[in-house]
Amino acid sequence: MIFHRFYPSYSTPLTHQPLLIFKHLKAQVHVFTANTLVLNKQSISSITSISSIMTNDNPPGGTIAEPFPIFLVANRYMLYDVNVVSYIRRVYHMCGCLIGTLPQVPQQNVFLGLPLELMIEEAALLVEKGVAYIVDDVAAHKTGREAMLEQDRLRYLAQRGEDLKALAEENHREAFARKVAALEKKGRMDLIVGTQNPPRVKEKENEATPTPPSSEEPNTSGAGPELLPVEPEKAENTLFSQPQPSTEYAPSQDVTFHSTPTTSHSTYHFPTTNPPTTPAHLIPQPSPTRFPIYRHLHSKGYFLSPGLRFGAQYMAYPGDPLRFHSHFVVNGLGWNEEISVMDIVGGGRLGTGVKKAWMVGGRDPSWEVGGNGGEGDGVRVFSVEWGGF
Amino acid sequence: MPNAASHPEHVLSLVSIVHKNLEHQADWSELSIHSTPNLPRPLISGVPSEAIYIDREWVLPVDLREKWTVRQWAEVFDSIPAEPPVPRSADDGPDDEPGGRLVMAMVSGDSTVVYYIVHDGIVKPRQN
Repeated sequence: MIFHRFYPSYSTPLTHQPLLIFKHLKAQVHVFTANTLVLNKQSISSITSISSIMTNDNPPGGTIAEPFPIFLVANRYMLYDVNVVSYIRRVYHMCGCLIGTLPQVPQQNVFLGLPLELMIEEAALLVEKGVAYIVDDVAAHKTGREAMLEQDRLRYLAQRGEDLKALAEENHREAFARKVAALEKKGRMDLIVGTQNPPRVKEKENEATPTPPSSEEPNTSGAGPELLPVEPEKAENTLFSQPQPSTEYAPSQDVTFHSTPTTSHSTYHFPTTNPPTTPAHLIPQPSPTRFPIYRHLHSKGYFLSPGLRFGAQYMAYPGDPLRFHSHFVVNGLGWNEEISVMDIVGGGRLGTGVKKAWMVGGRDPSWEVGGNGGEGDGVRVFSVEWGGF
Repeated sequence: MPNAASHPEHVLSLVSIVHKNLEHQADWSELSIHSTPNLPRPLISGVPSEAIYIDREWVLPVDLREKWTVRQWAEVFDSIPAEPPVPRSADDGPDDEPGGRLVMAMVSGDSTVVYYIVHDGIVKPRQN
């Protein structure tokens, strides 16, 4: 099951593409640049920086058509479209967990990418609100493929091949640029191979590099080596005026392999029912002791995320987790579920130790709408802190 | 101690331990024990040596070996006014609005007493 967490493609047609995820990583690293990488307008969703996910203005994709699909794979609720991911974060205060990672860096866990896994409570609440529906991903793929017309299939495959070739070339070009930059830094431009172009001087790029007197105007366009005679004793300082091999990218003939896209054609994984609904057997069934407090806090505007890191069920943030520390570590209990007083001591001490309050709560089963409880949802919560003396 | 006979011996012992601890170790003042039929167990009210939030605080004594439930907290909070009444008027009914805050005193077998503040509802921690 651990394997599924990182490679959902092993049980789904939506295969995971390292290249795309890497691009997504780069987009995340440039948090404040709001760069948008539109990788493939046909079959691949535009992947945008995390900054547009976290902020409320100019959300990518704007409004998402509701209800939108949540894909169920091996009892996990997945979202593959970054537009939906940012939309539910902005509108429904749900962050889920990005779980996509690079196969070659399986241990990294800071900058994860698509897909996004939702907690079962999140999926349940979205379905309950009627804004999402659950799709059995494996079954939908099977029926979708069988229902596809042959000519549609061939056209789709041809288009996908072209898109992927373009993507692979772009990747190759970027790899070449990285290589040039790295060698330039080391002063080993002579090592650059694989270009058919005649050598020429590259324009000066790095403004921070100290410029020797002999190359006062090194960025004169097309300045050849004969214009900038190098004195032997200054040779080490005249890196950028040396004759250099071309840093122009030349398309290579050996760009023959490419990865599978993160998102396949819609007919592969969208149900054909109209209007889309969640089959009864797929309706998420979260724990009856946990879900009431989740829904209660969510209705008060809190963002809830998994709380295992603090030994609890949820962490409750007063706003987007990228902007706020959490205020509460939360545990949902049954109304008559017994906990040890020692657990209250431990929880209260833990919460105070991390500047939070430890919260427990549950739903009164005798509460009825408009009855003894009046307004509300029958959930009582209690916040515990260390007394300080 | 009013209505003392209506509570079991071990609960009264618990209340006594916490009362003494508050008085002599935590240096609280104006301590008073409240025991009315609507209260699940006797509560103590008093004024901390250094004010936690307001002047008077409710104190709920529990034994470390006890089990506790959400329902019990709800019952205690529903039976007390938000602020403890002044001493000598301990027979006030639950007519004031319920809720607020109390200090839970956990009594261990080795005579240690620890205190945790429990709020009724979503209350932001003091440190945050």
